[in-house]
Amino acid sequence: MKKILIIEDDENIANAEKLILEGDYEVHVANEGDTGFEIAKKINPDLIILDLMLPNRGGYDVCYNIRQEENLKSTKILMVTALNQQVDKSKGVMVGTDAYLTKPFEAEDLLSNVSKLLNGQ
Amino acid sequence: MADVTTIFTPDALHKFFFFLSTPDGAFFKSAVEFIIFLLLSYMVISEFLQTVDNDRKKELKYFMIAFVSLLINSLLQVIIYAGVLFTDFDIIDLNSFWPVVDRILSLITLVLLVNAFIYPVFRKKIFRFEFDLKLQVLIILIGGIVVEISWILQDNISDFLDFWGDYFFVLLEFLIIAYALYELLLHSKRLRYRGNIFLAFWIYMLVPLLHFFNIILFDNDSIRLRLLEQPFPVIAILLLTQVTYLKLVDKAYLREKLSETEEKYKVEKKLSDMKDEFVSVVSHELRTPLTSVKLYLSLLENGKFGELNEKQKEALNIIESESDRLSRLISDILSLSKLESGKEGLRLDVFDMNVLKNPLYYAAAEEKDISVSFYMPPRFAVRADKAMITQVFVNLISNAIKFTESGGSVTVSCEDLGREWSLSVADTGKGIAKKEMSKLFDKFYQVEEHMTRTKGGTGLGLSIVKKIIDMHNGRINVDSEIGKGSRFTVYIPKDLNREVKI
Repeated sequence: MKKILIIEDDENIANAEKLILEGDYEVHVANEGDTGFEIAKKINPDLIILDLMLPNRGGYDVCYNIRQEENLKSTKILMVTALNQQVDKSKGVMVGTDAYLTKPFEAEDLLSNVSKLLNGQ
Repeated sequence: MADVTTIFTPDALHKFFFFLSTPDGAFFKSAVEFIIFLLLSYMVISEFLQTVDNDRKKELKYFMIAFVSLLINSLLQVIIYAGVLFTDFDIIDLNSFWPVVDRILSLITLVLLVNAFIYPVFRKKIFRFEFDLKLQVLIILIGGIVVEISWILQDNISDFLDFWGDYFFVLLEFLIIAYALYELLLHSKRLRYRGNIFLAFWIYMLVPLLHFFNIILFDNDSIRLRLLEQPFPVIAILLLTQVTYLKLVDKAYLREKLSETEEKYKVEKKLSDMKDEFVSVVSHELRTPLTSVKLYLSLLENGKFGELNEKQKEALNIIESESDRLSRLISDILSLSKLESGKEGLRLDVFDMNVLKNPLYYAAAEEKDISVSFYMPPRFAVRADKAMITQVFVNLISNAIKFTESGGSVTVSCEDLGREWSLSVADTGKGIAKKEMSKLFDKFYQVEEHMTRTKGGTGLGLSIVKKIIDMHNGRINVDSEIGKGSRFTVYIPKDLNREVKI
């Protein structure tokens, strides 16, 4: 089973995402940027679902750091944000995001984006 | 105690005018004039030295020259009259050339004054202005030379000067002032304080006029007329002084107004930025809990937390459609706020309107069994903000679908109308009453019908459409009949460059 790491500070959303995905994937959760980064280094996930507005370290920074790691270079990153201005999207692309999801999203959107990133190409 | 009224009897005035024409009076008058011009020259010169603006520097340069020449003229007069009063200098010695020199100086000064005050009119047409100045000076010089030569050929100079010389110079003065008034009449709108300048030159005009009458009617012998013309040059100069002062003061006033405006702008900008940040933060804060709502709804509906009975499923459907509506409302408010803040400029691009034929934009039509047809050329390229025009289309067509019964139809057409192009969305729905028309594009206005509210409208769709159309400098037209249907037509000008409002 493919591994997914969710880095999301809102517990409810993190929990909901886990429940939606745990049927088909192995799901790990972190509530904070730095913790998430550590876990990522340890378990080497196939996909990271990253929330933009994280406490302490912003989503962009975490994304950037993850991309700097050697063995995380092939990990897919799906960024989740409530802000959907053009500026944020291009910034996301610059730090190495693979896809974007805007809040609020449907469970179906989450599933289809995840499967596209992990299985499609 | 003398009665106040006796001081200003005609007799006293007469005596004063007479005094002015004597050497003492002349000295007094020239001394007063000298002091006025000294102050004025000081004001203008210091202003000129302080100014950085090149245009204004030019304008002030002419003022400066005019007033300095007046200054020199009056200084010479003061010296001469002082000489006559306090030394043995005999004015008869001067009689041979002084009147000519004096007249020439006066004329040059007059020309300079006229040009200084009319300068703002000619500012853009520098060639014409310089040409006129040179022409005028040339006329004076020729006139002066003619007089000089005639003087050389005459024996009795005072006879000549008394009549023909005077006559000639008076004519020149008259012509110069008439020219000034003519230019003022033609271009008065471009001059500030034109009333005052007009008045000054009219008053100045009186001097050669009176002199004229004197020469024509009384052979230049009327003392009365000669006395009468004494104060007018001074009055005219005073008026022109007032104008100069006003113009100089203007700068201080304008500077103050400018800094006031800058302050106001800073405050406004700050408020606007705060509002934008607020809306942005709020919409983010609203979207986060909404995400949880949707995700858990989904989990519930998919039986993740157990089987659901019919009633529970119904309840969840209602929760889902209401939270969808909430989501759309937040998006619309954010959109409208961004559009209204004016910060979002148009992203102009050339695109084909045929991209609107994407069924994703009108998915609801299929559910309601409404047919959607398109009438536009296979290639219809337009220049506009693609995202915004798409939004306009989506809003119009979802309205059309919303207000049309099952089995109805919606027609979308695009037309090239020469200087503008149009997008039209027509439906066979219930139509819009006349009384609703004026409020159609108001924020949150929804036609008062129970049905439409539960259909999930936000009331902002048409406000957003109107705002986008305004930004493109276009217009929108609504045709509707109750029971028959409605047609919304949007017109966008093709030439957006000059007219686009940002």
